[in-house]
Amino acid sequence: MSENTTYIAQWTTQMRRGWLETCIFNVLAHEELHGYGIMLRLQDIPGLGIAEGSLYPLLSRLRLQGLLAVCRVENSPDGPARKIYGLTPRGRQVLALMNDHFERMKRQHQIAQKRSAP
Amino acid sequence: MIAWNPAALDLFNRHCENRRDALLAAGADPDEVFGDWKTLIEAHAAAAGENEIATDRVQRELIDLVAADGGLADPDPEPVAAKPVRRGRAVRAAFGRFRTALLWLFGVALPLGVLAFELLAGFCAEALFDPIPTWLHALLIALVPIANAWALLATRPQRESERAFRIAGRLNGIALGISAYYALQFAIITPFAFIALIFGAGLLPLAPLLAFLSASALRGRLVHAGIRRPFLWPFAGRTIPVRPVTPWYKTALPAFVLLVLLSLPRLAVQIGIEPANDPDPAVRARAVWFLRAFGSRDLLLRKCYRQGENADLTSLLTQKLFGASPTTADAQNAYYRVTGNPYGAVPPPRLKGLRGQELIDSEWFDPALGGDQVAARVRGLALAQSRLDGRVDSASGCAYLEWTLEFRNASKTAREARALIDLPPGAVVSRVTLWIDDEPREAAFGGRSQTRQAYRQVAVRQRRDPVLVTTAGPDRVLLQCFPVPADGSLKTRIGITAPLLVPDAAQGVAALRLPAFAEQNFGGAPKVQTSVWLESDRPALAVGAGLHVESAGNVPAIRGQIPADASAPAVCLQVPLEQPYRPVLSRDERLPADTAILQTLEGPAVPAAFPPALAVVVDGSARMAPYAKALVQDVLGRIPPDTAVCTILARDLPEVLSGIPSADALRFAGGCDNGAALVAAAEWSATNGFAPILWLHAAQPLESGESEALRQIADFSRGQLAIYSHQFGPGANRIAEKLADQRLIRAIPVLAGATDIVDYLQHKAGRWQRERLSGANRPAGVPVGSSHVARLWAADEIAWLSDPNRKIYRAEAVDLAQTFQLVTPVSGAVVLETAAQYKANDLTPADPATVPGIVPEPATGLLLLGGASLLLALRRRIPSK
Repeated sequence: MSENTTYIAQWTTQMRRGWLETCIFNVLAHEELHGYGIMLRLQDIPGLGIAEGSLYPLLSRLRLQGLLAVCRVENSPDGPARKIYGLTPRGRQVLALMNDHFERMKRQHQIAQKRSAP
Repeated sequence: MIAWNPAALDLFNRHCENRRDALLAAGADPDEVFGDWKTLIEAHAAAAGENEIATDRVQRELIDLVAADGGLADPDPEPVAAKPVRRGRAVRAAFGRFRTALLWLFGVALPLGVLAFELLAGFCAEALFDPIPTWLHALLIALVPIANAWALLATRPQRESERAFRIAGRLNGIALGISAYYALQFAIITPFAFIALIFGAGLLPLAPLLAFLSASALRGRLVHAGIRRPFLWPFAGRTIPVRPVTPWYKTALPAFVLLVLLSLPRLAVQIGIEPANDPDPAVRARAVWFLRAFGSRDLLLRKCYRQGENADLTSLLTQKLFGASPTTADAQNAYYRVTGNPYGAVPPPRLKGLRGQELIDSEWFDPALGGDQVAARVRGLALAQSRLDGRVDSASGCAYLEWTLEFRNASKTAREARALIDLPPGAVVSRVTLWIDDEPREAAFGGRSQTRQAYRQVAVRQRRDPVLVTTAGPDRVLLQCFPVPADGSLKTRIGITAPLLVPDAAQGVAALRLPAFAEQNFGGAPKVQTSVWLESDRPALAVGAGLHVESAGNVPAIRGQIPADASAPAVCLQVPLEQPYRPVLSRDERLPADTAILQTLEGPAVPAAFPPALAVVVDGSARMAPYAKALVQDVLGRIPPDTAVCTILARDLPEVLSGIPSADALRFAGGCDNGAALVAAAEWSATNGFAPILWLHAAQPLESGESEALRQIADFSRGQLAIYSHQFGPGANRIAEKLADQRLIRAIPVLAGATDIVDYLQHKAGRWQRERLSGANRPAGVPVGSSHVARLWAADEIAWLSDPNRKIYRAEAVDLAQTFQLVTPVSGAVVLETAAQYKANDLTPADPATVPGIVPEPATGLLLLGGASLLLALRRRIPSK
């Protein structure tokens, strides 16, 4: 069992890393959010919780790749100013491709399941 | 803003610097992330109500960051795998790069290079077949490397674009179709190309196959790079590409079919040439129609020069399926039948586009050298100078002309100059001179075959300096000079003895039609004019365009410039004729002693009348179209209505027209063999008391397949059948040449125009009568005329002796022609270079003292003395009253 647990743990980590970006894009597809807001939205999704500190390098990379952009900076009454992130047009295109791909994978998975059924 | 404790800030900064490289490796901006982290810590401190960020706060936050991996997880972590697996991936990646390089090389660079090479050098077109006959072919071929390059660029990971994919897919299909077509065309030589690869060659013919394989590989790459969707029932579970590849029948097939359609004219030419030469006129006519409808004239012209160009699959299939393997001679005949133009009358074909060189390197090859046809024009050879000198002797009813021609050869190979010369009606060549080392050498006259054999021996084999003149049908001679040296010139001269024509015996006017080229194998003539200077015993009444009458030293002269090209109309001049004409007596030392020639002029024996029945053969060739109006108005329209007329239009199949046709009924197309129509006319003539046949035609460059049938009818008519021919426009008449010994075809002496034809048939013209008289029979008081009268008598005599019905006299005819130094149907004139050559060919060159000349020839002075003494002797014999 412990071997299986380790394997699943590695597998879910890999899966989670892949899906994390998709989920960030999907969150930002509906509204522009600051890092903390993104984190809160992700935490609502079981298994996708992420520390806010871990989120910033990811957001920085996606911004450099032109998929996200800092739309504006908002001042907070009880703390420092916060950057509001949003999807770029390219980010929206990539999101569409990602969702499309995900749908196919889902179907492939279903087909594979049906075939393996007795 | 919340303040930072310096120790806390130092701790944070140190942590950040430790993470800088990791963040950079993760693709993030470290400073941005550090700022975000700082803001996060400040926000947490503010939320906790802290006024200052202390070290312990920073330590707690950093522990969380480290625990959360700081967001530095590799977004694409390497799978946990053993080293051999990673090495396999590396090998696959290297192989992928190698394959891409090969695709660039064979799919893009090679086809592009081969296309450029072929366009510039025409290598394949010269050695195998022309793969790029049109610019459309070049464009289609260029699409192959473009499509392959596009596909390679579109499938690069960084350039994944749906639009680019779609275009790449369509282009790839087109490239597949085009490269497949050419790979098939080169299939015959592909095995040899593989063998040639061993020796470092063969890559060029393999280019289509390699391009096809590259396009196929790229199609697979496009399919895998594109989005796929599940296939529905009944193949659920499988996937098909959504994009970018379009079905092959939408792109590859149309491209392939387009190329096949473009090759149809070539196929038609390959298949149609042989049937176009079939002995059966019906088969021939169908094949000619087929070639006109579907063939390509350019390709047909190329076949006239080259028998090859059959190394492609299309040619192989046509050879196997239709047994089509036409020769160049077949193609030449077919070209004339299809277009109406002899292949030699149009410029040799050239390769298209950038390849401006001639397909046929006529620089070194002249297939008609030493033959009996003028054939195609050769490059570099031109007429440089032309002068026509002469003397018109109206008292003797004749003229003597000397046409001096200088040919210039600008090519690097020795050339043979050939020209078909239209002589004045009834004329005969009586002198031929060639300048060798600037010295004039006179010709030897001998039997026709004897002189031709000598010419071939010396000219073609020994490549020395001869000139040959032989007859080529009625009133025509063929002049051949070889070699006109490379970058050098050759000068020759032919002397012509011509009777003056008396179109209407009732009028005191005689006419002379000047000689002209009927066909030539040299250029330059349109720019070169013939300089004319003719002396006349009486001032001319009328001269042609470009000429004028003047008096040079009290001697009337006709001078000026006339065109020296075969396409120019003949020039005629008129001189007054004494009315009534006084007979003349001509004496020649070559005649037996105490004999002379008496020349008289006779009018029509009976009042001028048109024949009661007439068969008219009208050539249906396209070259006759410009003359249709004159044909109907000036000839057919002037035939008396009470004449029984049978009109036959000589088309691909002869068409018998009822009565006199209108201009609309005459349709002209291609080049038609008039032989079958002449046979039909001869058969009609035989049933109508051997009524004369009037043959109105353009050039007949082909030997007719019906010449033996005509010969047979002529034989059994025993000289009663006569074909009166008039040729519209320049060019050879092979039918007349072939039947020259039969004396069946007689040229109508046309001077002013087509109206002369009907006048001639009415027998209104005066006829010269020449008879040999011995001393006792010679009339008294007859003035002495030109010695050319004796030559004309000899020509008449040779014609009589060589008549096909009197074959036993042929040797005598040849002897007489040699004696009087005349070019006749049984004799020729040849100039050789050395005495040894003459001796080897049993020929004797003419004595310069006996040849005619413009200035009174040496023999003429003796003749005048002889004539005077003869008159004195005759007076003494007459008893005085």
